Amino acid sequence: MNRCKLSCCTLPLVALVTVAWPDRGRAADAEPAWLTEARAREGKLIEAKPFRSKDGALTGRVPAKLRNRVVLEDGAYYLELDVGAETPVSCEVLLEGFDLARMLRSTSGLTFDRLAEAQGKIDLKAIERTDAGAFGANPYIAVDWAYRTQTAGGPMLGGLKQVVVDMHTYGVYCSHVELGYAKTFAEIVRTLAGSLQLEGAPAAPAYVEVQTLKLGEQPVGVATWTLEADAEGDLRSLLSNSMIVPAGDGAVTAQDSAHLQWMTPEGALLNAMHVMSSNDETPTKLELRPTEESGVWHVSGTFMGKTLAQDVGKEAPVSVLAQARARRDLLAGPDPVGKQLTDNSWTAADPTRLLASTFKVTGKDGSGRYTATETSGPLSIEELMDAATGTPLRMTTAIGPRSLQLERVYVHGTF
Amino acid sequence: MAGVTSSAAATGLTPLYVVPTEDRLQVAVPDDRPLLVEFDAVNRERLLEALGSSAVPSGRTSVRLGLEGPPATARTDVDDPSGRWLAASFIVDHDQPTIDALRTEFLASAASPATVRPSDLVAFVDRKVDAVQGQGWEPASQTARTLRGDCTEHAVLTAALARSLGVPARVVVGMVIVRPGTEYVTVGHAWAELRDQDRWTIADAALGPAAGHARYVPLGLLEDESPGFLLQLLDTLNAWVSRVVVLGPDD
Repeated sequence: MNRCKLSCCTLPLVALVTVAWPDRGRAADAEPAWLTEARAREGKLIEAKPFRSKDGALTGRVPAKLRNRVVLEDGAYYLELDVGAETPVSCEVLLEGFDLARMLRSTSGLTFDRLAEAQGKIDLKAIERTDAGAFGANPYIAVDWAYRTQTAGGPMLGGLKQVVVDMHTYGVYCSHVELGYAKTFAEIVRTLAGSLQLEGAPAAPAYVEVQTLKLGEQPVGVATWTLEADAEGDLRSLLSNSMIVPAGDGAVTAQDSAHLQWMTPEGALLNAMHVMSSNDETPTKLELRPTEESGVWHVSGTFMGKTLAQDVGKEAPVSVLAQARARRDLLAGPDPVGKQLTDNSWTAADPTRLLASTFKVTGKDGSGRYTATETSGPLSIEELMDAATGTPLRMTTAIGPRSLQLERVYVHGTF
Repeated sequence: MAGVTSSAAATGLTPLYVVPTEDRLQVAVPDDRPLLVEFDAVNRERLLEALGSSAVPSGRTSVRLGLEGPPATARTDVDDPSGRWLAASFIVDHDQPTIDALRTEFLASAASPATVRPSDLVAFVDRKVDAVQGQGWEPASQTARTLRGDCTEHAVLTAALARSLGVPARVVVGMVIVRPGTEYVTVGHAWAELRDQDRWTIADAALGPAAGHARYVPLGLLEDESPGFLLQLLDTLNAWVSRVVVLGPDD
């Protein structure tokens, strides 16, 4: 979804600085002083002031001077904030939710296109930093870019900071086209996201968990689990993952997935859906439900761009809720260390069959915490479990030479 | 590839597919001489199993190997009694219309349609598919539609076209060591292998002309081509390498 105006990129050339592409990967300490100074620049923040949109539907606070009247246009409220830099920080509150990683990737592409029009050909660009976390219950992903452009006056270096925030039913996108001002930018986004109130937005789900995803030491994404009941008492579970990974040569890979399950209040799976987006495409959109006549579970839809329709089997897959409850009960019982649970899940790794997973408690790690190992197909996952919820505080698995780590950064509610 | 690897090295974050490589001598070893390399293994036993008998343990977690130079031939040689490397599968789906259209186009452009030369097929896929970085795996029929992809899409499409032309073909995952500038670099890679005159020949449309100077390190065949193929790929990662040291010519 490329709905951001991106300040329509009224981007003055003065937002650029000097020459020469710094080789940060090999000799970060050799960075020239002018560049270090440019990166270290910060703006002057003011005490956060409230704002209200012209239609009165959106309120919030920002710690910088708001340069425009906030109006709803094309499904988004737009804010332009003066931080004392050459270019303003721009933020948009988009009424429709969006895929975090895809949004970051598409808006960076749009921004660089506009920058090239305004400043000259961009001959190098690279991600310098990624970050992920949560502002309260709202997960975010941030990316900092550096780029080099060929201007009439010679090569110049510029910066782009981006952040997307999932507000559960709507989203926020902020950006700043200038080197430096990192803390200034982060504080503006944190204050804005933490104070936004949108009229008519549904209440937060009954249960929310947010985890950060790290590849090695690098935060690259977020995972969110929400749980809520509908009017009939059935439960809706949504597991969302968004991840953005540098792919070299100035490219990034954006992956977003959503795994939706409907369950009875007891946790029995009624049906499930899995949607996966990769960059600009949504190659996977699958539904799993039991057939009315035979009760055999059947998967149908599109998988990796191809039509898929296949029986999965008679056995009902375990739901995420039933799995968490079973683990919580195990950890609350006497002497859980050494005990194990095995169940069969429906996953996108192979949607045509259930994947067996064995969870084994390996030790106690302080009050209310246990270590555990989970094996699922070729994956072996080390987990630090929260006995109160039956869900992991931290999960680590090896992906070849790299480790993928999920770490809980927010939890609220009960189930 | 040269542009990709050199710019990747000059940025703050390393792309996933780049394997850290130390070039001890910093001299080019001629293509006709073996290159002695040492791999730090994620799991040494799995790596030794993947590399075969020519690899030897050289430390607690490392493995040493002399890599033959180009022209590239496959290190493994599995016979094909079942014909499975000709069959259409979920990922190498040469029974789909988009593949058929490309096959027709290839035959129209081939100098001698009666004989499929791997080099012609590689050149055709290289010409047709736009190289982009960071794309996930996808079936050949999707790549035939979008005509873009990274090494995995080039490999799967090459294999699908070859099978559609009656040439046994398979997909291999591993690493490739190249020297685009003044140092050797290693990247995770995938390529096709075609059965050509009773041996498996590397057919690498992603590297293009650079393939002629590349050293290939196969770590696993894509044997499960079903919708669950990603699980096998994950298992292959257990044979992966965390670091490469290029020691020089293997004399």
